[in-house]
Amino acid sequence: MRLSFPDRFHTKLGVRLTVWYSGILILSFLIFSIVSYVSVFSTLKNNKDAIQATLSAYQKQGDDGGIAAIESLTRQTPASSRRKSFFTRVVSPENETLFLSHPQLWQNFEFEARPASGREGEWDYYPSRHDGDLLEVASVRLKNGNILQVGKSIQDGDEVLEHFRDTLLATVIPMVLIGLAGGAFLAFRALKPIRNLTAVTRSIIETARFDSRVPANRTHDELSDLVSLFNLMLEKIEILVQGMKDALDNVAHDLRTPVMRLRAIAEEALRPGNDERTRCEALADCLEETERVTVILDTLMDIAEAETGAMKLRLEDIELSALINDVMALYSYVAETKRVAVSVQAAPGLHLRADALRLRQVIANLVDNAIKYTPDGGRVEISTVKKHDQALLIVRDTGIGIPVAEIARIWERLYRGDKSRSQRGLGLGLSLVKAVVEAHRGTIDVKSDSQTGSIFSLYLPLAST
Amino acid sequence: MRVLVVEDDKKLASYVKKGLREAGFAVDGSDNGDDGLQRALQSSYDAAVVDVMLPKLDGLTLIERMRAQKVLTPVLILSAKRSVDDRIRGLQTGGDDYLTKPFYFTELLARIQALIRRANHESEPTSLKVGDLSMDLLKREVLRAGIRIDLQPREFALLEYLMRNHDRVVSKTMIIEHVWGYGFDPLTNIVDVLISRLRNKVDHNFDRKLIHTFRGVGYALKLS
Repeated sequence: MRLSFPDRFHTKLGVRLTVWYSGILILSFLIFSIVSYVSVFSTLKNNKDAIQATLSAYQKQGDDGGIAAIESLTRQTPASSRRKSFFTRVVSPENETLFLSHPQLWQNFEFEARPASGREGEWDYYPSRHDGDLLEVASVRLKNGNILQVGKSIQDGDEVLEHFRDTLLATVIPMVLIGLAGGAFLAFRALKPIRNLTAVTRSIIETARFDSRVPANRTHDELSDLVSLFNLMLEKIEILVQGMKDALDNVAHDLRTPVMRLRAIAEEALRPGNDERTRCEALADCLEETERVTVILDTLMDIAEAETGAMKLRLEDIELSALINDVMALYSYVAETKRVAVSVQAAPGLHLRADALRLRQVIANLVDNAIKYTPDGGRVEISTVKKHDQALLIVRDTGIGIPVAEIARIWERLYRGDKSRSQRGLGLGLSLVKAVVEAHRGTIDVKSDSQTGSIFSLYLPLAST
Repeated sequence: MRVLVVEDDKKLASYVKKGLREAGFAVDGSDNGDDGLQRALQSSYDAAVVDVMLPKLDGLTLIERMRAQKVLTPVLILSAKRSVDDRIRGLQTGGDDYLTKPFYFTELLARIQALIRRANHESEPTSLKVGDLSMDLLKREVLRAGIRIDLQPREFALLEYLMRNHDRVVSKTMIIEHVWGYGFDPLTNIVDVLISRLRNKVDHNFDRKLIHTFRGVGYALKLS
């Protein structure tokens, strides 16, 4: 059985994540490129402003102090490279060079090609004779009729811009590829827990087995939370399903015996020659047997519910000693008849959040056992005491005790020790006790000795005040 | 007295109807919820026995519709579920009592009679009498053939319950419910013990025994 839906979902989500990731990456790269290009461009284009500023400064000097003043100014500017330095020239109206700053930098330009205009706002361009450099020049007419030219080389700026443009263009394609690859990788990584989840879910649907788990992530993010919750849910389901299966098995198994007995009794009764009285006896036996079947069914269901956590506990505030008194009201006559002395030493004021009916059943079971397995003249002591945030209930008897070999098995369903077989009982009592106690988040354990008897210790959390 | 039995299991239904007829009731039967509701609305019954799981219309809805039509016939709910929640749900819906399958017919009969008594507001007797055994409920005094019998509270409660239901068999479950006040799986022979104590006091010195054991069913107080 293939499930196409989760596959499609996963692919679509992966592609979408990739596209989004690389899209955002590429978009931010483009924005970065444009912004930096524009900024570089505008820096370079500031050339003209710088030239104009220098020109007017020189013009002022030139008008006042003539060529000598301009020359002294130009000496202050660096002469190392064309990029940094300003070109300054003074020409006569006849286009004769009167002064040229840093001649080593500028003498190779073709000044003859275009005579200086001397008009403000008009730009002249002089190419170099050797390299492809271009000189951008503004000019102004000095008072004495000479023309002052100030300029800068612009070839470098264009080259930088061009180079910058080329670099950006060359980066775009690898950038897109890296974006796509990164996006795909991240999507793949981010979706890994979901793919695991899908795989586990599919395997559970296909195999109907709840024992597989989604591999846990080491990171603590939303998806790992989901994964651990999902695993927890699987665990719960597994316990429930297993519990139900067990309960069904147990019911089937445990009912066979009484049903077998019923059949035997009925068969026996139907034999020819039986008188009315024998048949009535057999029918009464049958009734008793059905009673036992009912009790087994009820108890098994209770155990299953308590063990799987499906038991609905009607929690209320309970005073433990009151509950013990309820149970004693049930058992006082039984104890009296058996000549077993029952003493209760209950600490007052121990309040629990518990299901009264269930807890009464638990205590009744323990007291019932204690009385049942204590011979005439023996003692049963019930006591409660506060232990930290727990109530400790002890049922101690002077009974026959539980052999060491059997003590671990007494909580098992339907287990009946050798000594207990002579007594009435189904062997379900202690399993129910344990299941109900654990459903109340309590614990129970037992110490036993054939000389002194058994001690059952039941710990239950106290109600928080 | 007329009783309606709505139960789809044929064998169980005929067993209940037969028992009720023998106890002196006029009985109508119905094997599905729809038909049961029609009957309950059309005729007047003193009591109804309604199974929860029914074809066509489930028992709880049936009771709800009955109550919506202001039909106040007391209803005993039969159910295979025995959790406290189901019981409460049944009673909240408008059922008057609740009985879990499997049940003893004597228990069903006793519960129906109690429902009818309650519905008819029968006055509480102040004394009970069965043969030469009498009980004064006000003075809480028990006499047998004029001789005073001292009983402890639980013994008194048990005897009172047996006398109120004299000539009827009551089950151990019913006894526990009435004498101790809660439905509880009888783990050990607490009822047997109480019965035998009562026997010692009520029957021991007399030739004519009043308390009878019905093996597999329960106990009854009767003259013969």
